[in-house]
Amino acid sequence: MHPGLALDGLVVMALVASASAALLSRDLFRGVVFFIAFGLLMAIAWVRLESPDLALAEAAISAGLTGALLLDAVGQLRDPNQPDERVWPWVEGGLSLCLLAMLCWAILGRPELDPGLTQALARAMETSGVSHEVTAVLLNFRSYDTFLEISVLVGTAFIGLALQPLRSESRLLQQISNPLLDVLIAWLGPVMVMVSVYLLWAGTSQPGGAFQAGALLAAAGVLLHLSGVTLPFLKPGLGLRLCLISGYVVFLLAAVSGPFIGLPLFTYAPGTAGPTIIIIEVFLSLSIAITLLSLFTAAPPTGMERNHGA
Amino acid sequence: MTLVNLAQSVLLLSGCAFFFIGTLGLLRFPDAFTRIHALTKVDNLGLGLIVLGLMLSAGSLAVVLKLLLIWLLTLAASATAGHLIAHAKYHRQRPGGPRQPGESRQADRAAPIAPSQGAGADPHPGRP
Repeated sequence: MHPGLALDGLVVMALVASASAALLSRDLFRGVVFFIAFGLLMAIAWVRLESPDLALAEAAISAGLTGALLLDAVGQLRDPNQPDERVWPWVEGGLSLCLLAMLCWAILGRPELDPGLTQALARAMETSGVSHEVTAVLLNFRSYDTFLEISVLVGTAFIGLALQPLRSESRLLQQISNPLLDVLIAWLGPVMVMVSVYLLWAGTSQPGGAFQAGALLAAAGVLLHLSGVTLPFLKPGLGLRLCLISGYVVFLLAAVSGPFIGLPLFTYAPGTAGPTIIIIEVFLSLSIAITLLSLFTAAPPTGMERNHGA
Repeated sequence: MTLVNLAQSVLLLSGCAFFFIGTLGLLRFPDAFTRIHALTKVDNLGLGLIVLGLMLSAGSLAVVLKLLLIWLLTLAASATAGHLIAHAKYHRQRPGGPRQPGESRQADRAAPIAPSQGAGADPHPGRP
């Protein structure tokens, strides 16, 4: 047996095991921990499928930030081990099995020698402005999809911020005053910002890009926030709103710049694709970072603070 | 099999063995503090051995330095995280107080356990 096949089989079994443990565990905290492990295993699966961009995004956003958000949510629940009131358990299970069967049928029945769009992409790469295929597809050839993604993110940010309690401006979420954490932040903060900018820049020729850079920047912000550093740009106001919508607005401007010179929508002027993509990516990563960070810091106070403050 | 391959296999396998031991400690130790002890020390050593094994087949000095940086960053992050978790738990835990999910009662059998169970008690300790 090929050793790669054994590794893939192990990863698949571990994925199924951690997913079922996350869903079936009666303890919510344990379920969230298994979800984080599932995110990490998914990142490994993406690497095995030779998609390092997806692996980076999966590890940063799914395992990292979403895991932190879920842990925060579990911490706020008064009784995390409430018995589940499942009205239709067998319906959900049956629908999931039907979906699984359809997916298996679709995957097993696909044509054998389907080259897909690889050759068409290779022919069009010169006009894309970047040298990495994934970035070219995400931000040039199929930029409509990325535009919709950033729209969803902006909408999520607004909804999350709208649910923020009004009195929470001066309150810090779980301020941890620990000298070890302060030293770590002092060393790691600049490193994280630098790696984030590098990921953004390297996205033009290597795996990387706006989403990964934004997630890393948000993680740096979360670390700063947890150690008690006030982040003045997160206070509700004009600055926060500008940062949140900047990615969306810049992308929209780039998209509608096509019709002004006679090209279709979402088509960049010939020769300007490279700089346009860089500018879009810079504002995209800023928006993504502020969105994810404000979702994290907009959480209501935890149970411990509620008990101590009451 | 060349000497480099042999050394690499030894390093990678012993790194995996250390990870296995760390996971065994995580599953078997009764208290959060002992589990943190197992995870931070043993897993970091396992990661160091794996990184050393990967360094032997790195293509250039840049890759070697990157691997070293990865190991040092993980070391710093996991050590700090372990310290923070233990610190928070130490200040939050009172003997006989609310149990965190997954903990056994062996840790404070010496101390009298208060009748209050608290919201954090696990009503079904046997299930996953």
